[in-house]
Amino acid sequence: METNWGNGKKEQNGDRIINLPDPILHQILSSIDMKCVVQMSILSRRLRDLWTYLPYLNFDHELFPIEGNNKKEYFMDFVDRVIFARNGATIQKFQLFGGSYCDFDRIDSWVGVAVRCKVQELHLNFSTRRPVLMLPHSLFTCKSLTVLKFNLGSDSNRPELILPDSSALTGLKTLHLGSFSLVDGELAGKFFSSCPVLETLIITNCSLLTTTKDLHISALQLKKLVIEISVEDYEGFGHIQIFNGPVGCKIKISAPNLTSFRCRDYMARDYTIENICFPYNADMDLILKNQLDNELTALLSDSNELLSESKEIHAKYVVDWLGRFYDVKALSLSSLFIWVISDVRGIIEKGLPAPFFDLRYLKVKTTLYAVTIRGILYLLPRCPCIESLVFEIAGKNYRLSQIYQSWDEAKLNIPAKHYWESLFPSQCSLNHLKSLEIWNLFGYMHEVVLLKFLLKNAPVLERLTIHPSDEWKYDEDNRLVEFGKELQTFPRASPSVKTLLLSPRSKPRPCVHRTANE
Amino acid sequence: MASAKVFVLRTCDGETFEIDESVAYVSETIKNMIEDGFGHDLIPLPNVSSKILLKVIEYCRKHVSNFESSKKTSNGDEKDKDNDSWKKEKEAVPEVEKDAEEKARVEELKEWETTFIDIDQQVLFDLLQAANYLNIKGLLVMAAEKAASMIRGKTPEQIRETFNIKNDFTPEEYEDIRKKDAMNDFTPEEYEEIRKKIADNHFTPEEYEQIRKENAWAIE
Repeated sequence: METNWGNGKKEQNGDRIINLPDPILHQILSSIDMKCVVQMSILSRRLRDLWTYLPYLNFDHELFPIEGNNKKEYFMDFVDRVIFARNGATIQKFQLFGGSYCDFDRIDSWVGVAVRCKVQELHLNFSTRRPVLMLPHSLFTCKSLTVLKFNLGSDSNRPELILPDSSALTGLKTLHLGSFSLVDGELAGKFFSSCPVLETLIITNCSLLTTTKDLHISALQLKKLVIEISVEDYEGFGHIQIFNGPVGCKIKISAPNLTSFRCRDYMARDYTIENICFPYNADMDLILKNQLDNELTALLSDSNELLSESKEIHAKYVVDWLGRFYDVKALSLSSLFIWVISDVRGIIEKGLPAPFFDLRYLKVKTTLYAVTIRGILYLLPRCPCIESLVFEIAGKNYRLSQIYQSWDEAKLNIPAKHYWESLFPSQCSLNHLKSLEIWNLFGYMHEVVLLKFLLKNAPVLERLTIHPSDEWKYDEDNRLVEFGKELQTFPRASPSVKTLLLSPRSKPRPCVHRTANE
Repeated sequence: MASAKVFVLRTCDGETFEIDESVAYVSETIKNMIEDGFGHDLIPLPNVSSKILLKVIEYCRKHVSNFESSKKTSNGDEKDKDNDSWKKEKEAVPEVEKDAEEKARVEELKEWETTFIDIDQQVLFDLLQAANYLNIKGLLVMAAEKAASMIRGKTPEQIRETFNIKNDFTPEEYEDIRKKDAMNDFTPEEYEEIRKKIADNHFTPEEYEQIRKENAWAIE
């Protein structure tokens, strides 16, 4: 029986999908919601009972076709029925998006069943209203488990998570925990450290406000670590915490095989990163305790005033953090930290660590003000072996954009040009810099001064890549082409620099591409 | 530097293809064959046609694991190692947001993949079979996800039409299944019993003892 697919072809053997071998068919259905798989049972004999032994279980309340007051009961019943009908068949992956449509007791029992079915991957996302949560104890003896992803709460409720201090999770390689708070950092640390083959540990939207005991993570196989602490109103806990003291809980990481560490946390927290065997990548988003400080720094342009905490305290943060980056080969820093560096650069000469000889790649994500340019210029000489430099200029500050001059005003506005140029030292040795990349260039005079400075001081530069900001989309006077031409005239220390000026679209597509010696 | 080793693959329709060692090793099957010593002559692939092998090689070339050329960003992720962009957007635990450079890289890969997998059904099924036989996990996952995208959001009847699935039930069987659905099977009493069975731990006595010992901390 021939059928027209709609592309003009007529196919003879139509139902190839039914005749696919089990592994392929299961893989195809591995991301399909269970309701759909059950409904597919009317299509053919092959699919009739497939839902009772498909080793991938996906339940998503958003795809559940019932609405109204009974949705919760129906949804939980559906999960129960599917689980029961499966009669203990192996589960490779169990994924649940329960939202607020699941009682934790039921989840507890489903996890128990999944464990008995030798589940390998468990992905649970729900938002409980309970203040405290204890994961089912059977979970911690599940030897088949390789991936555990658990999102417990939401921004409005981060339940306290009670973890055991040890486990028999001998196969667990990946652990993600999201939206929770830790009351006992020590116990949590012991738990993380007890997973012998753990390679990826990701903690997001985690609150450490109420723990006083330090979190020690000691993991021999750990490669990727992400710690993202939830930003909370610190002032609310003022009566417990010492305002000028370190953030309560210290974090210690001992991971000889660490390759990547991503951290979003208070600058004030005391971190120790030790026993590292190889240079690793660090992506740091450090914030200040006072939420108002975090916001204000975005508004201030040239202020030399530090906000809530004293310069000395901030200087200590900077010295401590710079000391922690010693083993890093690729470092990414965000604007607040650059801003603080700039503010304290006059008083931190004592006690500074040696330059970062291992650092090859530096990414700076910040708006460019005089303040942040000073901070960047402070850092550059400390990274003598840098090979790749990336600037991601953060979003536009509308207040300041009134003040900032555009690059093509340089001939007219000499005082402004001199002001920006005075920020830069006469030279800086970037003797190993091969690649320079700028994202989200607006075309301000100070951006151009910075660019010129770098070009002049990088004798072995090979590649310059510029991604203009989206604003250039509205460029009707072809100023981008003008800019490109101007770009070719900048003096450069390196004899051959391949310059790529991309067009302002989300997809990188070259708009102007020339070599310097054309 | 010594030139990279080259291997010759022969398809079921008699054509031969030369590929570098690094490209060949993307397929676990071919890798094993080479390691077992079958690389000196032609490597026969009787289950793969030349049309499909071309597609497969295109995939392998894009996904060669080459540490010198792969771009490392500051968070240490190597380029397209696990075909992450093909995983469903919704993740159980949302990870920290990507920055501009990472987003651009993911976008670029997604674009490549969308174009690559824009093929008609027959080629898709051939590709699935080939990826399974050649044991190329990333390709299998990508192709399977394409097939899944043709299922998602459709009613059973629409799915039947898309894939031309023959209804091989007898009329009686069909009626029977239509009535039965995971939602309508059990009486409330039967259902309570089921719930209890799921909630109780149905371990064997030995399993239970072991767990008691390992988890003395948790058992009240």
